[in-house]
Amino acid sequence: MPTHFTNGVSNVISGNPLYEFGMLDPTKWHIFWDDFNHEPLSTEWTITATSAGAGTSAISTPDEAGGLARITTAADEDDGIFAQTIGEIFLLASGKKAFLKTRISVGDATQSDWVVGLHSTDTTPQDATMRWLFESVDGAATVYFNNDDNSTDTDSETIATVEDDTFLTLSAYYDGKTSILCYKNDVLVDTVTSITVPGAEMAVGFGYLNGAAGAETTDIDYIFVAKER
Amino acid sequence: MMTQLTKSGGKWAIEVSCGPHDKPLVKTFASREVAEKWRYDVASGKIAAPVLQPKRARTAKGKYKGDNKGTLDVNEAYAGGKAPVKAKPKAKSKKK
Repeated sequence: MPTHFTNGVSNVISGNPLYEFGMLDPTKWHIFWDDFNHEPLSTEWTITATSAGAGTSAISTPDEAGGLARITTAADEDDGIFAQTIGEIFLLASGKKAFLKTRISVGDATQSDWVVGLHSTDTTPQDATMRWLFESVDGAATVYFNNDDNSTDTDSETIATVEDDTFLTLSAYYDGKTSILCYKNDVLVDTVTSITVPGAEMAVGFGYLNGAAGAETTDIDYIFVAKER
Repeated sequence: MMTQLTKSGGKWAIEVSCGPHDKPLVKTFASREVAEKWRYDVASGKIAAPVLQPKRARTAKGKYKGDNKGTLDVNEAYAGGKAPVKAKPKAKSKKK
């Protein structure tokens, strides 16, 4: 049985205007959370689709428990979709902890380029000026974490070897100093040290491009990003 | 905003769409490189994003709806309830 705090819980000190508020102070963190209960709309996201081959690259929210964003690609190599929030809404900073967590299943683990995380606004996020994201590149089934502050481009060790059409959870935690801890399915895999986080605002983004001919389906179950204010 | 790059014959096209009340706009290009550069320049703000015109509203039978002059704030002739902004005519230069 859970412990019941019938008067509420608090994480603020006496004198704080939210002192009597019976919940944890939500303003202490900037949080982005999308469980994809509805499809990413072009009024809220900048969506960059490429459909050179047969079919149409698109994002939808199918009838699936939990909600997910389903990317279906047209059939040529480099067909697919990237989506990014219209605004660059996250500015990472030394002294402020930050988190990224996502759950994803990709259509072709090896023949694909895909990213999930934060990056400068760009139609090709893999080349964005600043990046703080999980990335997998064409020709490899591995995924790593990439921190690029437009001065030093740092990759983690391989966080996971991805399998086709199999969900995995990827998480990263920035300690507010110089380290990023990277997790696969909630288990710590690698700690990237001596990094400087990007010093400009970034958008939340995700996307998948075919690395070879053939239509594919990729599902993103959720994206969570949080940063200490 | 959504941009969809497609190939049709030897030409490349980008369809720009946004909300459900806007009419998509299609631009054609001679090559994929030129199309992708245009898309990149729009996204990075180097060139202005195209302005989409609102869609006309239609009845269940598919005919255009007209504006109800009794509602000043809403133009029922357009799907989003707003008419496109007309460009102001250029002021005539005065002859000296």
